[in-house]
Amino acid sequence: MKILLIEDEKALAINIQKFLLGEGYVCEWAATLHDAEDKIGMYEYDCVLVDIMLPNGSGLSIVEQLKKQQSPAGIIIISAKNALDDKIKGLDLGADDYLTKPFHLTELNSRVKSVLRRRQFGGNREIVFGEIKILPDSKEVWVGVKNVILTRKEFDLLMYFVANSNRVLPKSTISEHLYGDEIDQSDTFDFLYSHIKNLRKKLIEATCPDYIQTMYGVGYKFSLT
Amino acid sequence: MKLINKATRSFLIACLIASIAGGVLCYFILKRILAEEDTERLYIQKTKFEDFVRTSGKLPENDLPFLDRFWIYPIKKVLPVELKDTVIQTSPHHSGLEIRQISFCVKTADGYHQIKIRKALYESEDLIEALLAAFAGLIILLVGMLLFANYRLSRSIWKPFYKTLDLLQTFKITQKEAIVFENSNILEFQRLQKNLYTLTEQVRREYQSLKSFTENASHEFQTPLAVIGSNLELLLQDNNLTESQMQQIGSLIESLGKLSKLNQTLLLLTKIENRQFEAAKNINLSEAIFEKISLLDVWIQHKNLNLEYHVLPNILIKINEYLLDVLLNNLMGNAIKYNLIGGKFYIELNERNLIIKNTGNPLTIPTEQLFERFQKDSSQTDSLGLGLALVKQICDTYEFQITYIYVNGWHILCVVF
Repeated sequence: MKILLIEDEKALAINIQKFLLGEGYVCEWAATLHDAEDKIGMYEYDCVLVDIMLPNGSGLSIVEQLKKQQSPAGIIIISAKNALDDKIKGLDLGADDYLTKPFHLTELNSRVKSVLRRRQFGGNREIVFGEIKILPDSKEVWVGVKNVILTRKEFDLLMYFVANSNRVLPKSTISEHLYGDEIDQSDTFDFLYSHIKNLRKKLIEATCPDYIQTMYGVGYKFSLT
Repeated sequence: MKLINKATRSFLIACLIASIAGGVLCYFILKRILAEEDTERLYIQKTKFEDFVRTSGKLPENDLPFLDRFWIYPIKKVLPVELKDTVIQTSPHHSGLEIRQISFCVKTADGYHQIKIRKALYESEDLIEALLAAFAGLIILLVGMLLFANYRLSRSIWKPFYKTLDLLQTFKITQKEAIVFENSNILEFQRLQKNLYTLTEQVRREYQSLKSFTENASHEFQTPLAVIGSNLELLLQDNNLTESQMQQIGSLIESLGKLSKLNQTLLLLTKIENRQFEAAKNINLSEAIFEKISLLDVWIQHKNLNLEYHVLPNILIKINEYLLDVLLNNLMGNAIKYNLIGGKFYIELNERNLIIKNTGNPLTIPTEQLFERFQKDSSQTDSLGLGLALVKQICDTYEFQITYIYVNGWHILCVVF
């Protein structure tokens, strides 16, 4: 999987690149609009991450150019500009998703995975993690032959865990993923705990091993071991 | 009071005072002139009478053509010339007749005679009355015509002024185009329009630059925050970390999350203050509340709350969708957050208002400070203290009234649309 990152802030770009490399992607970085235009003109990417505010122009023009080339690449806009206009404009131009800075790398990771999944496999691929089989399109979860019925939030939580498996996920990062701006973050820890308790219970009831590790004082880790 | 009416009123009062003073003055002047005229006339008659007596050497036997009525009384000795006004009673049924009388002496062969010539004054009174009536008529006509002309003129003169006023009333700080005034050939209005144009343009530009500042500031803050956050996250994935190092990083990430939330909330407040959320549409508030209840359900169960609601269906309010979301999140979130474990939570919605009640401990801050920024209950150290400031700002923007009271262990917040 090849990802192009268009981001002018070097320190942030390096971190994103490092993280995505760790996930097994090939990640190229363009710091300027010009550089980015060259790169998308020469190579094919599976996913393009575009910062809107670039030093010499708007990242939206990259989105336009990609659409003009009929590129199959998934597009995620990453921007500090959470002005509603830009968001609507970006999505209208054909971007797949929109992330507002500052975002968590694990959040970016789960968005990238979801975009790639939709792009490559028409959304029909099943995700297997240990004993768990997930059908993202129909939002079904199976453990062996048992169908596990999850609420919307529990399903979101599981998807997030699977996308960021083997990583330490701080509580605040998870609750922000689940609730976004909806609720003041400090309030959500309590019911993040409830969600995790319920998810764990449902999975164990379906004879699934407990993959959710509690990292005391930090958060959780979803892993096979 | 309208400008035209005010000007007209002053004009009318001035006219009234001037015509009354003029009338009174005129009356006295006329009276005096006529009185002098009468006196002079009596003296002329006296001279003519004396001439007659001197040339003919006798008294006239009947009325002379040049004389008013006169009376002759024989006297013994010379009396001085005397002029006096008096009232004589012609008949018992009528009121007295005002006359002026001159009495003087003439000497004939028969000796001295006193002559009295009388002149009735009513003629002059009549004349004065007629003159004053004419004067009054003239004044009324003049004032009427002037008023009419003034009114018509004022209306056409002030027309551009009222147009300017109307334009100014529709002016919005957020509008993209400059205000365009109708041309006027009156210097003062031109100046007014020019100054207003400068002023509104300045305000508009300031606003635009503030708006871009808000967005730029957001960008400038968020990028370093994103850099710090991504570094911490990468650090957290390091397998060689001790548990306490991991906890420290976890707490840094949490604090960073709060900082970025704080930044976003302050920017949101500024944006609402600047009225940058224009797109208000009719939103089904009832449905929005039901949605929010289902979202918060886990939390409500977690705190073991007893939720009761009386929500009339299909209540529409005109508001920006995002701001409504912020409003409900804060109001309903607070009702859960500040509730007691196993407490009560009550929501009521009707056409007029939204009432949210919850059980809880009394506030530790004065009620009047509740809606101010960074005012938070001392027991809630996690809170930013911006939630109700946001709520208030949103309510102010849409001119909703919001009130808070604490009665019998209930926190009651009421929003009147």
